[in-house]
Amino acid sequence: MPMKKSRLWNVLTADDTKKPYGMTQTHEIGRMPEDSAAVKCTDRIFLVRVGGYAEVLDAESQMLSLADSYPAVHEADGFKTEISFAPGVILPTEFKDGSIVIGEEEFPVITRGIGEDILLLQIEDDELIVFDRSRFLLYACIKGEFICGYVEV
Amino acid sequence: MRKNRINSGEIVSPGTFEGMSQYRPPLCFELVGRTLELVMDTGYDYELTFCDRKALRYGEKGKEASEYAYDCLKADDDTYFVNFEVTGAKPRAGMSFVLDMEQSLVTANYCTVGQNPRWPRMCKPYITFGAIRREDGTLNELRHGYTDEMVGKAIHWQYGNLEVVHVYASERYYRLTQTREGMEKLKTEKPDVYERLSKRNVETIYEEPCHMIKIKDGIYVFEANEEMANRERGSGNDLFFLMNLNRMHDVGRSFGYNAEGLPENYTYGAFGEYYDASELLARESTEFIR
Repeated sequence: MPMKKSRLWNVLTADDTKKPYGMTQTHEIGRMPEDSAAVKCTDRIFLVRVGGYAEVLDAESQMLSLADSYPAVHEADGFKTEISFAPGVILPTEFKDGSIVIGEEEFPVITRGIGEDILLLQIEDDELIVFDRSRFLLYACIKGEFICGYVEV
Repeated sequence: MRKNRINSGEIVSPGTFEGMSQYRPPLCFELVGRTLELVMDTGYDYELTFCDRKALRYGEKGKEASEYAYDCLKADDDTYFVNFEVTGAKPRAGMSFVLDMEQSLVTANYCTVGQNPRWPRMCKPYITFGAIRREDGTLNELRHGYTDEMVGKAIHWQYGNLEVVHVYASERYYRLTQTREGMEKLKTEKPDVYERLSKRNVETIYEEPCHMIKIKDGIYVFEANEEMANRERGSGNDLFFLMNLNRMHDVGRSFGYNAEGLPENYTYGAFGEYYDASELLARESTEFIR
């Protein structure tokens, strides 16, 4: 049996039966320590895996920060859409005040804002989703694994 | 923040981007500051210098190079897609490179438009291969190569504001179709597009010439020149894709003209899913003797 990483991972990958869209590592922010890796989400925002946890590198401030350091926002509350992180797994999704419903599962979430176009969805300490509201692209670090996806336009 | 209202709910709206570039990943600036020597099998060597995030210099080695605005995207950790308009070229030209830094190999597409007197908007791709000189001065003797590994497969590509199924019918031709779900969606959301597409692949099969090139395991170039579209409606572009089938997404560019008849040359990205097109694959070509 394949290892099931988390409830969120199982929802996004149809119980680990579908391989999620993979991400390309970036070499743009210089050499990373051995147990670290980074992916580029936008010109400004990079997700950096340090140990098993995801942190956010903001190219504007050159600061590596935990998601906690960004202000909580409620601008997407009520937004209903469909998202996909794996081929053939298209999930109805609703942003609520304090939670997000993906498929049939509800996850407590703190939504944080970076600038005008980036939302950070902080689900668990080691589960972070970046939502580029301009391109409707999604980037996630889930239990140390980088994946990407899209929001239905 | 951009917002609008649909039905009773408040929704977030995406930005507006050219053509099918909605899902294009962020541009890559990793090559900034580097100069690559491209030793091409045409017998000419070129120098490609990434000056900054926006401009590169390109020209034959030992001669004066010109500066161009470029886009760079990544398909793999060490495989780059670079695209630019060769501004000032007559006939109009676009240059695209697949730079495979892992194997020190390059595939190039110098695409022109405006040379066909009957179909003046017909593009003419010219694909060449070569090696990138390594830091120790050596060259890889291998080359990226034409492949039949994609033949018989089909992939549903999601570009955001466009979705299509590319059916890799043979080493030299591909077919185009839509998913059943996609057609249902079009029927309600874009009835005029539905009307046009529902006629496709009924009496005749929509088929175009193409090139399929293997870069490395799971990484392929797919080039399709919309020749039939040009003949039928007077416009059609050259599409150059770099597909990562290990991660099921692609990056690429469209070179030619947009719906308003203006020159276009933009990069894009998409998410893919294998699709069962066995019914379409089983039909005989109505366009080409094979």
